[in-house]
Amino acid sequence: MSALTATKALAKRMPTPGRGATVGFWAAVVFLAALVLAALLPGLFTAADPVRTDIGAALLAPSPAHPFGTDQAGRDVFARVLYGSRYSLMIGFGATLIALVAGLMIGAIAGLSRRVGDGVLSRAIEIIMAFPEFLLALIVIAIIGPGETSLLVAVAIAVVPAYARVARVQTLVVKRAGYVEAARTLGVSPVLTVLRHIVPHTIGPLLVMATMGVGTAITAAAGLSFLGLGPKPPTPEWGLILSDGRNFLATAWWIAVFPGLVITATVVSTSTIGRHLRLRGAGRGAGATHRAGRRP
Amino acid sequence: MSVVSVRDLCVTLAGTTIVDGVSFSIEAGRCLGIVGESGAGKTVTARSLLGLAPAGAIVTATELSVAGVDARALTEAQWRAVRGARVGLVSQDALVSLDPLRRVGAEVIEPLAIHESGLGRVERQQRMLRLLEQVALPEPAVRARDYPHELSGGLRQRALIASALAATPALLVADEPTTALDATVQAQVIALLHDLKRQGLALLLISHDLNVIRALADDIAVMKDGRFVEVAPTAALLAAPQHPYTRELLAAAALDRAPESAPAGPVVLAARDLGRTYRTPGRFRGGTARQAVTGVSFDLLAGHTLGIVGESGSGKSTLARMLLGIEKPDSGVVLLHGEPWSALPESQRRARRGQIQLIHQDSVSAFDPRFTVLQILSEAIAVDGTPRRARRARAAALLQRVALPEALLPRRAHELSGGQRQRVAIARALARAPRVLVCDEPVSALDVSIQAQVLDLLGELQRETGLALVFISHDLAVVRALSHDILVMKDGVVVEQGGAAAVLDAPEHPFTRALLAAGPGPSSAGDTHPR
Amino acid sequence: MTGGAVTGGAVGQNRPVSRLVGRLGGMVLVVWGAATVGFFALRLIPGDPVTVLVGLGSVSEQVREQIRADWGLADPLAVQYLFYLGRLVRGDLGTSYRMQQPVADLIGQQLAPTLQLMGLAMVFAVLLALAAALFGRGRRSTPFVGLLELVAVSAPTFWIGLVLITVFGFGLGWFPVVASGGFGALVLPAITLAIPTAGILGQVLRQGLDAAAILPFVDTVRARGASHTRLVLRHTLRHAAANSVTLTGYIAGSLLGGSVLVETVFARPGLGRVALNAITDRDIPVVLGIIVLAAVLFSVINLIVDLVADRLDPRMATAEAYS
Repeated sequence: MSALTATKALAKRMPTPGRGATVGFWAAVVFLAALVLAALLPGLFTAADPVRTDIGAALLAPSPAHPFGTDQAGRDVFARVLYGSRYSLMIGFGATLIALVAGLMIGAIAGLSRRVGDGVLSRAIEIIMAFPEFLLALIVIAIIGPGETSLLVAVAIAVVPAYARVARVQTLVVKRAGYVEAARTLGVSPVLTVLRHIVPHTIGPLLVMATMGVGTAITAAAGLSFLGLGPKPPTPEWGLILSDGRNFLATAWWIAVFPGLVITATVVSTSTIGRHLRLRGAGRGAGATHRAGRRP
Repeated sequence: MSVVSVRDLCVTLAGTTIVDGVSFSIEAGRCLGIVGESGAGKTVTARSLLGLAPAGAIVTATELSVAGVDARALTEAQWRAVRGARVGLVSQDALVSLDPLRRVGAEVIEPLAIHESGLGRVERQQRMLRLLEQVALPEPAVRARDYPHELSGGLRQRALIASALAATPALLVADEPTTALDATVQAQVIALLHDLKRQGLALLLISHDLNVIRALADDIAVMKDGRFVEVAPTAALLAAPQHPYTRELLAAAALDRAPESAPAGPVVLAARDLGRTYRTPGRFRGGTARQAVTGVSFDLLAGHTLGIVGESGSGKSTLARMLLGIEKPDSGVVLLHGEPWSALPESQRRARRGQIQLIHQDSVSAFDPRFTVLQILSEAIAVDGTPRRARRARAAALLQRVALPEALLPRRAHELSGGQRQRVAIARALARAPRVLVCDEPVSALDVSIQAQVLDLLGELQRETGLALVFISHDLAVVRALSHDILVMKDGVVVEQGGAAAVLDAPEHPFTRALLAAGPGPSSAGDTHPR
Repeated sequence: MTGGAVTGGAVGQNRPVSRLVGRLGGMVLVVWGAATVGFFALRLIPGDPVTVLVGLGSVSEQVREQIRADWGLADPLAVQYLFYLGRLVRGDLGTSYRMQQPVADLIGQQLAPTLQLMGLAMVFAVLLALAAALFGRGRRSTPFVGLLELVAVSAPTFWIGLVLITVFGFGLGWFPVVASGGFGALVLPAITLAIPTAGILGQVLRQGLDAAAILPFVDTVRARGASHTRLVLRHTLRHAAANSVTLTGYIAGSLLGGSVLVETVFARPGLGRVALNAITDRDIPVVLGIIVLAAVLFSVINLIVDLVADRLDPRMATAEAYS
C-alpha cells in the first residue's frame, strides 16, 4: 500500500533520539550513579558533619569551604544534602519496588480473571485513582500517623493503583494479541502461555514506568516531610532541609535553593532515563503495534 | 490541451530514488491509471502534483505543468493556491482521510473557505449541499450534520470526493480511492468517478488493484521501482501486455484458475446449525443482542476446500473462531472427525488442537514480537514433546516445506516481508500436522503477485497431504482459486451454498450476483464500465 | 471485535441519556467507595474509637459521651457504618471534636480561597501549556521547550514556591511575600501551582499535535490548500485538546493535592491548611470529611470532562458499541 509507505518512512525517521538526547541520557546516568554512591559513602564527597551544630558558622554564603553554604545552625548544607540522599533514594526506590510488585500482581490478576473479578478489581483501582497520588499519600499518613516508615508506606500505596492499571491494560491487550490466540490453537498450556507471552510483555512497560516513578516517589516523599509528616529534625532529609530554608529566604536563599536543585536534577534524570528506555523499547517492540492490513 | 503534463519527474528522499524519470500527461475528461505494488512510487508521484511529496524529498522535473501552472519552482504559499482549487485529492479511507472530529458538511466547505473567501455563509452552505447532491449522497442536509464515522464506508467516500471537488479543480488525484471498501460498494464509487470523468474532470487514479484501474482508466501506466515499465491505452495493455511485469500483474489479478478436482475423502470437519449471538454489554440497560452467525451447516471432506465469502461484518471471522473452538457457539455443534469438538471442555480439546490449525490475516500480530522464527516454530514443535535438540532440524525442515531458506531462523517476525511471514505462519501450523487448516483472510494484506504464490503453496500442500482447508475471504477471486465448495455469507446468514462451479456460474441469490459483478472475474474481463 | 461494527440507528436514540445515567451511577459509586474505604480504614486504627475520633489532645467526658452517641458506637460495626452513610446522604459530615465545630463549617469557611487559587492556577497552566505547545514545535525550539517542560514537571512544587518568593518577593519586590488577601498575593501561589501542571499539559498537547500531524486526514486538509496555521487551529489542535481534556480530572486532583504544599509555603489560609492541621492533629472526622469532599469534587469534574470530551470527539459517544 503505497499511501502507507510514505507515512511509514516519515514515522520511522522521527523517533530516533538525536545526539542531544543520547548525551542527556548519559548525563542522567552519571548523575544518578554519583548520587547512589553519595548515598552509600557520603564521606567520599565531604568531610563535614551533617548534624553537628556550629553557631559561629551560621548562615554562611556558599564558598569553596561550604559549596552550598551553611544553615541557621552552622551545618554544612552540601553535607546535609549528600547524607540526605540516603533517605530520599531509599524511599524512592523502596516505594517504587513495592508498588511495582504489588501493581503487577493486582493488574495481572485483574486482567486474567473473568468478568466479575476484573470488574471488582478495576472498579477499585478506578476509585482509588480518582484521588491524586499526593493526596492519597496524605490520607494514608492521616490514617497510619506520621513518621519515616509511614512515609515509605504512604508513597508506595499512593502509586500502586497506577502500576496496577497499566499492568491490567497491558495484560488485556496482550491477552487478545494474535500470538496468544495462536498459542492457544497450537495447544500450548495456559500457564506456559501466560509465563511465555503475557508476563514478559507486561513487565517491560512497568519497568519503564518504574524508572520514571522513582523520581515521582522522591518528590512526594520530600513534599510530605516538608510538611513535617516524615522524619523529625535534625535528620538530614531533603524535604526537611527545604523546610528549614523556608524561614531564611530573605537572608540565606542557599539553604532552600540548592537542595531543591538536587531534587529537580534527580527527577529530571530518572525521567530522562525512563523516556530513553521507552523509546528503545518502542523501537524493539515495533512488531507489537498492530498495523492494519489492506482492509481495516 | 493537457490538464497535467509531466516530463522526467524524479523524487529522491534521503539519497534513495523513489520516482525515477516518470513522464505522462492527462487531458480533460480522461483518466490515467497508475498500477503497481507497494513501494513502487505511485503515491509519491501523485502527491508531487500537489506539492505534497514527503518532507525532505527532492522533486525535479523538466516539465511539471499542473492545470496551467508551471509547478517546478512554486513556493509553499503558491502551492497552496494550486491545491484544492486546481488539483483535488481523494485518498484511501474517508474514515481517516476526513477530519474525524468535524462534521461532513464543514469538511466539504473548507476548500470554499480557503479559495473562495468572497462567498457568504449561506452561499457556502448551498454550494456544499449541491456538492453532496452531485456525489449522490442521500439526504444531503441531514448527512452534512453527521460525523464521518456515522456514515457507511461508501457514503463517506462520496463525501470525501465532494470535498475534493468543492473548489472546482480541473484534476482529481484519486489514491486508492476504493481500497478500503467492500466489493459491492467499490463498484458504486467507481461509477461515480466515471460520471465525473465524463463531465470533463481529468483523473489520475492510483491503485494496486488492476481491476479497479481497468474499470476507469483510458490509459494505464504500470509502475515498478519508481519507473513506468509500460504505458499504453487500457484495451491495448490488457490485450497485449508487452512487459513481463505487466503480464505477471495481469495473471495475478485475473486469478483465473480453479482447484483440481479432489477425490472424495472422509468428512473431517462438520458444522451443524451453528449460531452465535453477541450481547453488547450495557451497565444499566441490559445490553442489546446481535446475531453474529445464524444456522450454518456444512461437511468438509479431507483434501477439499470450503470457501467462505462475505463482506466485512458478515460473521465470517466469528464462524472461523467457532470452528477452531476458540469461541463457544450458542447453538449447534462442530464435529471433528465425527466426534464432538465444540462441546468438549477446553482441557480435553487442547490435546486434540493440533488437528485443526489457523492462519491469521494479520501476520504481524500472529507472532510474539520478541520471538525469532526458530522460537516461533519451536513453540509449536515442542507441544507434542519433541526433545529440545531435535527442534532445530524440524524447524529447518518445516521452513523448507514452505519454500523458505533456513537462514531465516534467527530473524524476528517483523524483519520478514508479508509473504515470508505468512509462510512462517503456515509452517507453524504444519508443525502440528493438522488435518484441517482454517485460513482467515490469509492473503488480503499481501500484494497480488505474492498472493498468487501463497495460494499456490496452499494448493500444493493440500494435494500432497490431503489437508482440508476452510478458506475465508472477502475477495471472490481469491476464494475461487482454491475452493471446491463455496458458502456465501451476508449479515451472519448463509445466503448461498454449494459446489464452486454451481455458485459461481449460476448464482441464485442477488447478493452473490452483486459480488460476482463487483469483482471482475473472467466473465467481465472486457473493459465494460460498471454503470 | 469479532463480528464487525454495529450499524447505528435503532439503538442510538436513547444512548446519551443512558450514558448520562451510567456516569451518574459511576459517580455515586466513586463517592460511596471513598467514603467506605475511609470509614473502615479509620476503624482499623488500633485503640478506643472514641480516643481515635478525638485525635491529639483531650476532651471532657461529656464530649466523649457525645461522640459515642454521634457515631452509635454501642451498636455493631455494620449498624455504625449504615448510620454513617445515612448521615453523609443527608449532607452531614460530622463534627470536629478538637475544633468544637461541624466539619462542614470548617471546610466551608476555607473552601473559597482554595478554589480561587486552583482556578487561577488552572488558567495560568492552560495559557502556559498552549504557548509552549504552539510556539515550541519548531526544529530549534523543540529541545529547549522540551527541557523546560521536563524541569517544570520534575521540580517539587514547594521548591518552585520558595524560589519564586526569593526572586520576585524578596529580590525584586514585585509581589507581597505573605498572604494579604489582595489579587497580587494570589499571583505567586497560583503560578507556583500552575507550573508543574503546565508542564504536563504542555507535553500532552505537544504530543497530541505531533500525533495528529501524521494522521492521514492531514494530507487531505493540506491538499485543499490549507495553510499551516489553519491546519493547526482548525484541525490538529482540536485533536490534541480532545486528548488533553481527559486529563482535567487528574489535574484538578493534583492542584488540590498541591494546594496543601502551596498554602503552607505561602502561609495562606485554605482547604490545604485545614487538611494538614487535621492530619497532624489526627482530627479524624475532618480527615473523613475531606476524603468525601475530594471524591465528590473529582466525580463532578470527571462527569463534566466526559461530557466535554464527547463534544470534542464525537467518536467517543459511540465508542462503547465498538469496544
